Amino acid sequence: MSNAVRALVASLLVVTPVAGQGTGLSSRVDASTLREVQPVLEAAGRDSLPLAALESKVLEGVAKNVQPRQIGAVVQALAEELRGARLTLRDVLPGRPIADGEIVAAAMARRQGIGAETLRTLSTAGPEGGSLEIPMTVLGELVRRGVPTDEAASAMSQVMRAGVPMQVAAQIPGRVDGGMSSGAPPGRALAEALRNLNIPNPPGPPVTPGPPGSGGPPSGRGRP
Amino acid sequence: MNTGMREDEMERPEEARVRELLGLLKEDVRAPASFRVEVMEAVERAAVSPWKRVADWWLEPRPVRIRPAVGALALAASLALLVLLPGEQSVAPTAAVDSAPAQVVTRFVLIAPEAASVHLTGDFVSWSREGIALEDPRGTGIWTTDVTLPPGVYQYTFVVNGTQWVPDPRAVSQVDDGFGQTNSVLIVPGGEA
Repeated sequence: MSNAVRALVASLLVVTPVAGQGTGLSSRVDASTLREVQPVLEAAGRDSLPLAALESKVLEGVAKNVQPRQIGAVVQALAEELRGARLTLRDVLPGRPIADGEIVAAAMARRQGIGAETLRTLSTAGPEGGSLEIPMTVLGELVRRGVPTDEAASAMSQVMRAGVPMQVAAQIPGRVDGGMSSGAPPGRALAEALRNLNIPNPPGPPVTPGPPGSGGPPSGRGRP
Repeated sequence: MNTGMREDEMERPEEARVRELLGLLKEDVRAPASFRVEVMEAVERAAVSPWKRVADWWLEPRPVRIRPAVGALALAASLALLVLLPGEQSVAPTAAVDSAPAQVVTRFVLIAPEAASVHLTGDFVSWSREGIALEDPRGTGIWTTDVTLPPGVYQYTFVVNGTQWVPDPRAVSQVDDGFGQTNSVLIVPGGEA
């Protein structure tokens, strides 16, 4: 064996981590739980899924004294969600590196019924290569609150087009909560939240005004 | 009259909590020491020309994320090249990796007057049972702690008295943890759109 080949083999042996090692999982997880999750983690590693998210779910289950079999089932289900989310993002963002956080955020968004086309629209609104983790998360939170998906996606696309800082965008769900607690329907609460945060309203048809006396002026989405 | 005195006494802890909450709301969250420097650098970056920004992008230290397998292959290829090219002297460039990316200080608050202890745990501490202890220095039942986190989306929960898992009522969202309980969601935004 030549020196070059020896060097190649030696460096691979030294550097390449064995799956599951170096993560601290084996030191904190009992053998039976490890048996349940190891095949899932190995398959996830092969598919380039976010291992940290899956290992975190394992540790969460252990910390909450969940039975190994249930931990295995929950981690398996999460892996399937992440696998689906990764495939969607690969379709939406061809040729672009996808961060682990974006895969997790896409999985959470898909739980709210947000599909590939909506994510594609969102991805084209922001700067090329910009992270979609927070926008997808905020979008999912808006839909979870009952904002129609197209309105939520339109608002988040506008947020990204306008270059609104994510510190501001992250406040939108909380502001929507405030509007809804005052009796506004979700779409109207979103429009008010955007206005209160000085975010330009997205173009589109005006939102149906709330019933008389529901508080506040009619919330047209186009700014005057 | 006695009843009135008792009512006054019962109101005092509530008033104290309200006063403390107001104090917490007014209080500035401590920023890390690097915060001012990072802000000033961001302002300066915004003022320079695009060419200078491109040059800075190549020259400034920045965190680099690579897949371990890719890193291993790259290292192996580099070593193999060094071995295959004897006599060639090369000075390997040293990349100063910034190990401290942008961090955001987040304050966690739980009002739990009956609690003897409150801890914070979540994916940012690998769900350690010990987690991060919250403090109630005035004994008013308002437990707080400040945690510095990089931008991202996190799930967490409070652990009261070491056994009771309590989601944060102030969280932006609550999600099913898959185990029959509820996690709170925290969004730590970065600066860019």
